[in-house]
Amino acid sequence: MILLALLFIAPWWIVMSVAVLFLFYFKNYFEILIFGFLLDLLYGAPVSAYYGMGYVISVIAALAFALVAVVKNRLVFYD
Amino acid sequence: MKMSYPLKSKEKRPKAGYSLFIAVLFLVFVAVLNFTAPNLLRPAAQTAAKPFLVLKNKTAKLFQGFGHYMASKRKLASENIKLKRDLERIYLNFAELETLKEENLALKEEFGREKSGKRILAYVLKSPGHSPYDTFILDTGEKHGVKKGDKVYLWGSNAALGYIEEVFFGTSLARLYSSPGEKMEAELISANLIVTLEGRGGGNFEVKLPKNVRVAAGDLVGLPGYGNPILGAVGTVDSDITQSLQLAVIRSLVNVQEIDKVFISIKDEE
Repeated sequence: MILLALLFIAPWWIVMSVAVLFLFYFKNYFEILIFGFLLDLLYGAPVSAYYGMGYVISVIAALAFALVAVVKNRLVFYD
Repeated sequence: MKMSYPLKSKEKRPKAGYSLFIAVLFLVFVAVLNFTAPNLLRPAAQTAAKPFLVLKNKTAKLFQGFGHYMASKRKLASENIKLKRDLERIYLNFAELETLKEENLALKEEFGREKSGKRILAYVLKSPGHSPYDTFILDTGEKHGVKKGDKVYLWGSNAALGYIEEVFFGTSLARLYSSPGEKMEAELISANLIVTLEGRGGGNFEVKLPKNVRVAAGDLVGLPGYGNPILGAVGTVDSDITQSLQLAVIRSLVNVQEIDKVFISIKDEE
């Protein structure tokens, strides 16, 4: 709900930063992918600087999701 | 009786392989969608989001003046005096501007250059600062006659902001000219020179010019052709002695993140 509200009131980088925090806090936070995708559906447009991709935030979300999973797997804190 | 318990760490450690698999699957889905039907789900998302964006804007307007209750009386009084003086000066300039505008219109009509097409007001539902694409959502769409490629200007001014990228039923997605990597022709008005601007995002552009072109901070840059709608003004000029070119950064005259009203210039049907 927090992220859903932020989606409409905050810039994309705040939404993604909070989502990354949630990635660390929750065990499997798949919602980051959904929110990244929703941001792209709302504001996305092909940008030449991003090689014509109109789903840049989704890619960032997927990379963050994978990276945090690897990091969590290696941290003793999550044992 | 001796009891043994499994180690806590062995059962709680998250499986990275599973998450990696999900991430790859998601990336494949996004890539397929991007290259086959990028706008397949966008109209539905826009329609679903519109009521929430309208509600957010209305709520934000309710709380707009809330911070003023905390300001000191003395500060408000001095600000009031300053604003009154500014207003007087603006009225004087405005009167002159109106006369010039009428004269300008009359001259244009005489030369057969009166404006064609219509302009419609659109409210910004989500400002450009909220996405990395430099796009913003407007509350007008196909049902209001908006078409892809229509130009977007700041309400009540001659400042060009961008163009319509996608049109949905009740909303449209506009893109700023300054979108990262976007290249466009513009006119450096003081030098009467057509240049190629490259977008840097957030209402900023950059342009590389030969060193012999005279350019200074404050010089206006506009769209080429009729009326020269203003894109921005030169902010800084970086002239390295070892280079043959100089780099000028152009900044929009308005804060693109604070735009709430625009008008769309609708092209006439061919």
